[in-house]
Amino acid sequence: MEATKASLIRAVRARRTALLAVFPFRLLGFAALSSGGVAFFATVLPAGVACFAVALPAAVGFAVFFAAFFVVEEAESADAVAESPEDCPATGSTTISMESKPARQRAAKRETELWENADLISSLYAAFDLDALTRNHSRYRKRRKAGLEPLCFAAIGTPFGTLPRRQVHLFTDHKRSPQPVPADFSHPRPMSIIQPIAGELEPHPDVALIERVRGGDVSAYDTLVRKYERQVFRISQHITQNREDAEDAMQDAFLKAYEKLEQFQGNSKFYTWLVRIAVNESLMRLRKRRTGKMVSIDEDIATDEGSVPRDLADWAPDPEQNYGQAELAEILRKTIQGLPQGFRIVFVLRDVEGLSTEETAETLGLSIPAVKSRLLRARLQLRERLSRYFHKKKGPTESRLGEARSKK
Amino acid sequence: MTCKEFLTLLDDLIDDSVTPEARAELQAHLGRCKHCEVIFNTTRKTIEIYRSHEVYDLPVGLRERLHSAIMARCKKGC
Repeated sequence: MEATKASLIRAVRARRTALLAVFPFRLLGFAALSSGGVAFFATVLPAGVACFAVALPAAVGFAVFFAAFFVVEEAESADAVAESPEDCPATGSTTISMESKPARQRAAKRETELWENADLISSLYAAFDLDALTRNHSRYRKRRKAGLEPLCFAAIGTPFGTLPRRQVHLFTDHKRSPQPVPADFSHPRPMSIIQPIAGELEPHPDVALIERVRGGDVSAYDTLVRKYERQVFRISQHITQNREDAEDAMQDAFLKAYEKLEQFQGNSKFYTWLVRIAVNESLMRLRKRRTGKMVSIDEDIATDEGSVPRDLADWAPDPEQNYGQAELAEILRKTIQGLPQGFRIVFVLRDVEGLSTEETAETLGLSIPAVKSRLLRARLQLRERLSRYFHKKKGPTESRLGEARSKK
Repeated sequence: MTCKEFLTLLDDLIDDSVTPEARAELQAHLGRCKHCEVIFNTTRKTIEIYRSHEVYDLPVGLRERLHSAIMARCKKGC
């Protein structure tokens, strides 16, 4: 795994270096070309001798400009050669349009390896927020300013050149992948899942209830409401941060779910379908309250606070026991309220309500790497904020011990 | 393994979605690095605390009120 990771990093860095090396030539070529063009128009009337002065820079311009392109092409084809499966399984091209049979076989093998390493690659991409980078260069520049190493610099469209995005798409949209996920591909699972995952042959208990509701049995819907009202209320409250709005959003979510039950396909869990409705209703309430201001799950996401842990002091054992129940609830509320909206929703759905990464991504309309990246930062930020309350009071012996261990 | 690499895989370790080899590497790093050990333990604790404590509880009175409102509207066919 380390070898795979190292080869991935090597390959991406090599691409970056190749592109950066060629960039000045491109610039020079372009400058010469345009100066030739300007000179041509300026001297087109008094021709004669000036023609020679014009023709020279223009010719040099053309030569350098195309030479630079040629070098890039060469660099990219060299990359393709270097991307043998053993060398770099992760950045392998996914197009299987090559003509020779061995090439097709190599591409297919690369594709398989790509999926086998999907977890690792996806976490790497998530850690460097590649998903956000592909959408927004200014966000990239901010990150660069903040001192974050842009690992995937050359793998995306940059001011210095653009590389194929097809590799990126593989990770941002698993569903559109041309290749099926291998059976042994391990999907991440949350620590505990509210509903046990029903076996494929055994339908989820909600399915029978939904059938009864469709047959006109309102009491079956009553059962569903009672089963999920706490979760829906919590989610609405976390999003709106307002009791009144949360109540309204919750009520509307259940009514809308009842109304649209015919549209529920049954290919996702009823619970995740309901959560999606609740999230939308809650965001709508929030939007109404802040008229004129756009509200989205991307809000406040630009902050980099908490991506690098600073508070490294250990907590007391069972630190929550130092507080009364009401006091603790207040601390937890205050702490999570301080989190940017886009991080808070991901944390609540994924960690508190037990949705999987895939379900959270689907519910919020985010890519899987984006969910992973937000979850990591949400967890680290919450940890950092809670540290203020849960710090272990260090005795002299203990702190010396800590220092000694960290020096090792 | 560096601390940065450890942080990259921290979530997967917490969610128990790493391969046995990666887990061994991560644990070896944990044994060497006090800082990462603290981050790992306290992050796990953070999730556990949020999962086991009701931050927003639905009060009984409110629950019944909402319940009858929903049921009344549903019986009317929404």
